[in-house]
Amino acid sequence: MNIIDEALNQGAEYADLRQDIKRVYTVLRENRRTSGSEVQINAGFFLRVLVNGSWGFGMTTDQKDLPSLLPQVLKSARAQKRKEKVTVKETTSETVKMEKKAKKRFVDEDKIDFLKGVEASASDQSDRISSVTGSVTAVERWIRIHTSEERTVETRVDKISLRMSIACKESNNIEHRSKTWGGVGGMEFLLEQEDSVREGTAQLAREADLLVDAEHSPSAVVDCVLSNSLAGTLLHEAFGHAVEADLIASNESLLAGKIGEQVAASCVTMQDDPTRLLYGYYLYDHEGVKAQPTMLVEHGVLKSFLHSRETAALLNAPLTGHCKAELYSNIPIVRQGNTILHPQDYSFPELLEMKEGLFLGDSAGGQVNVGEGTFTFGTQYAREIKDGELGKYLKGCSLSGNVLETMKNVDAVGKEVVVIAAGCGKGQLDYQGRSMPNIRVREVMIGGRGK
Amino acid sequence: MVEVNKILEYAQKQGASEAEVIKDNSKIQYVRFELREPKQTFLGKTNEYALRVVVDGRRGFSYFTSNWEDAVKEAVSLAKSREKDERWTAFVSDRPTKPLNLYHKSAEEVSIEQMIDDMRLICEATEHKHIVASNIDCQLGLSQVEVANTSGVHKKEASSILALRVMCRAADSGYGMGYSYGYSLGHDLDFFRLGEEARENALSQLGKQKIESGDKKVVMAPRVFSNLLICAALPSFLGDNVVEGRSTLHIGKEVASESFHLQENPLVETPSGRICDDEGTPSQTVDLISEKKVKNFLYDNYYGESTASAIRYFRYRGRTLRSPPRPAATSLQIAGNPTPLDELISEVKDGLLVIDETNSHASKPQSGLFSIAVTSGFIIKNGEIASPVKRCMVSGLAFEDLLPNVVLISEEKEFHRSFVYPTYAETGYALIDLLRVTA
Repeated sequence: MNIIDEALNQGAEYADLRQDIKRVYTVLRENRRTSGSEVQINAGFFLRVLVNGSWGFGMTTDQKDLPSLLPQVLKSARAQKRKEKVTVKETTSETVKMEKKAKKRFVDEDKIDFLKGVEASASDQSDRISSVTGSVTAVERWIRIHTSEERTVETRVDKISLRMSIACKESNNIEHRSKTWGGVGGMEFLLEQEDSVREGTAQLAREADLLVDAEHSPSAVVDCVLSNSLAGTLLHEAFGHAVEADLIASNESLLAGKIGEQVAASCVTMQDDPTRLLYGYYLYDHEGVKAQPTMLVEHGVLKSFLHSRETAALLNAPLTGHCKAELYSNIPIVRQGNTILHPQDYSFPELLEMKEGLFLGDSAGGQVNVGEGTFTFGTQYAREIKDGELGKYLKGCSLSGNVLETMKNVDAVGKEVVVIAAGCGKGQLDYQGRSMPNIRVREVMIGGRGK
Repeated sequence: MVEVNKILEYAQKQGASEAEVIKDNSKIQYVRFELREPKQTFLGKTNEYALRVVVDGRRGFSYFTSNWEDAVKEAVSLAKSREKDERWTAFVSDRPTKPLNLYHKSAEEVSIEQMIDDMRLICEATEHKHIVASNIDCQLGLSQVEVANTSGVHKKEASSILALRVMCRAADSGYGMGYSYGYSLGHDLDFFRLGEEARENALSQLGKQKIESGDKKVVMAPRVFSNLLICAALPSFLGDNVVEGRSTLHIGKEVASESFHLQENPLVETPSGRICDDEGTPSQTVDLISEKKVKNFLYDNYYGESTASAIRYFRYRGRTLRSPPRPAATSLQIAGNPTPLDELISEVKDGLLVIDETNSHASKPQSGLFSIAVTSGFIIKNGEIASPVKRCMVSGLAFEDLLPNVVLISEEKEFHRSFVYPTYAETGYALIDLLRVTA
């Protein structure tokens, strides 16, 4: 008898077992020296049982432990004695198998020569380069989920990314630029865009050099044009997290109860689509649910949340397939997949049409407080906008604001879209994709060190 | 479960001239409460291994949880696929460690039912008509770690930890967030008090007022000051950044006021203690800043003369065996002229008390530029707390604006864990003379 049948026999209303093997290969070069050549083989089992309306979870690296783990997990769930019973939305009984594997596996290709070529494109861009770091990370993930619905989903998805970081230094002044390229598949993804990666790396070096002499960004409230990367961070942090239904269910999100309301400017139409072949691609989530493209905001009106089985049942919503776990050892939680902001009709020069403002460059990470409805994130650099033209470079800064106010202050969305590979750290690291135009936002609070 | 010596022997059979393995046998129990109800329980048992091998001066690494023989072969294969690293010397040899009691039996005896009862006590403490949401995360971990290498090191360390985070969200016409945190080697946290603390922190933030922009005196709560030290200042002290050109510091450089002393001290019997680093080098205390100047950097065995600072971690993930060790701090201690918090606040005519923030993790680790958003805090007027403050930002450079301007550090010390780096820090409130505030 398998462990799921045994769980049902012992009183579980629902159970699933995820067998999860994630291999992560990394080659790291620092200052033209290979300093890391690594593999992680994360393999284990994650068991979930729902009994008496309470969740019990168990995890082990050894399959032999599962029979002894099950009664402990059932006991821990029963000990909760919840008043409000948890239920899950079930789906069909079927057996599904899908894979999206690398055509050129990391282990079979020469990553070091590739990295050396990319590094070389930076070297003649500045004589103040103090550090060049490059890494290629390839992920091969195989998951088999078996549920008490007699549903078995087996998936294999491979992804790859390249991160380049360049620092330029003079005396006490050091500045740094970095960028990540990532997508689905293996080395073929990087090799196909080798020329643009090299040009992008050269640009990083030129900009790091410029930033050494740049002034600090101001401390002010100003109108801003956000780069594609930063628009992605804004949409992901400020809005994407607030529509994750686990935060709605726990009454932590300011968007709770606001379906059908105007929550952003009418130029904002945003969906999450894990089925697009971007860095956040998957077809089945880690509860074995089929991923669905989900319209979140249409012409500024809130349309839907992103769901797990549990939140879909609680909020009586359709399953969207947005519940994921970083590794075998993690509890699956509601996550975003690929954030898509629909482009509108503004060219880049039209977005810059303002007397004075700032262009905010690539993202340097962000954070949201969904309960308070506020966000903060950093930029690697900024540029002045004067009379509709881009001006001098400024050192990085942070911007902060209220989610709803800021989304209503988006007054223009560009027409040129850039695809971005990004990560998110909602307690667990997740690979996510974005398809983003530039956007213009009025009255942004900038916390720079300058005046 | 395979013995570490067996892995070392097998690695050598596969062609490794040297090898090092670390093994972690752990059990965890986790309980989460949301809206005063248990949300989930989680029981876990893991056997994890991390192996470094050297083949003709070329290094390979594998982390694994099963199929150990394949993982050893893969590490050897990865080593062979790269070029020789001229900087590599050898794994560390054995030296005696100072014993520390980092495993408390009381933690071992905590059942999941006990943890649920503890959380219910916290729920009672958080009850209030204006507290509209709360969640509690409590994790108990028991760990047996072994580090061994082919140079004769074989260290064993047992540790336990109980970690607690309480969040309360208060609402009337506005919102206020309040948090409390507890860390212990055993089952000795004051759960009720931690619940009350999160509740009061949230309620105290209702009725926020706007602060004027400008350069102001800022008092930072221990959690905020720790976060900025760890994210904006500490990276410049890490040996890999120093050697690889990502730090502007040098020994003897003036970077702080006389009122500020920073030390890495893992030789403590707290959750930040450790008998050795992840290469097996015995722990030691290292002065980082004293008498205004940089005194030392933190090194592993690869980047310099080891200060027992080789730690396996991922940024944002904390300590993990999943990557090779790199220089890091685990146990920072901050000292100054200890002063009561009331006296610190009385020094401020027009300023800001920052209780909590977001975005310290996005500080620039190379330049030390930080720009945080104040999510909880108070306006200080004429030496007294006036009102909670609406969202504003505080920015500056770690070695030009923050550390050189530390005036006083309060005697009310707190112990906090970074959620970005594998680092705990113990500090009091810090009074900083003039930082840029944007509102």
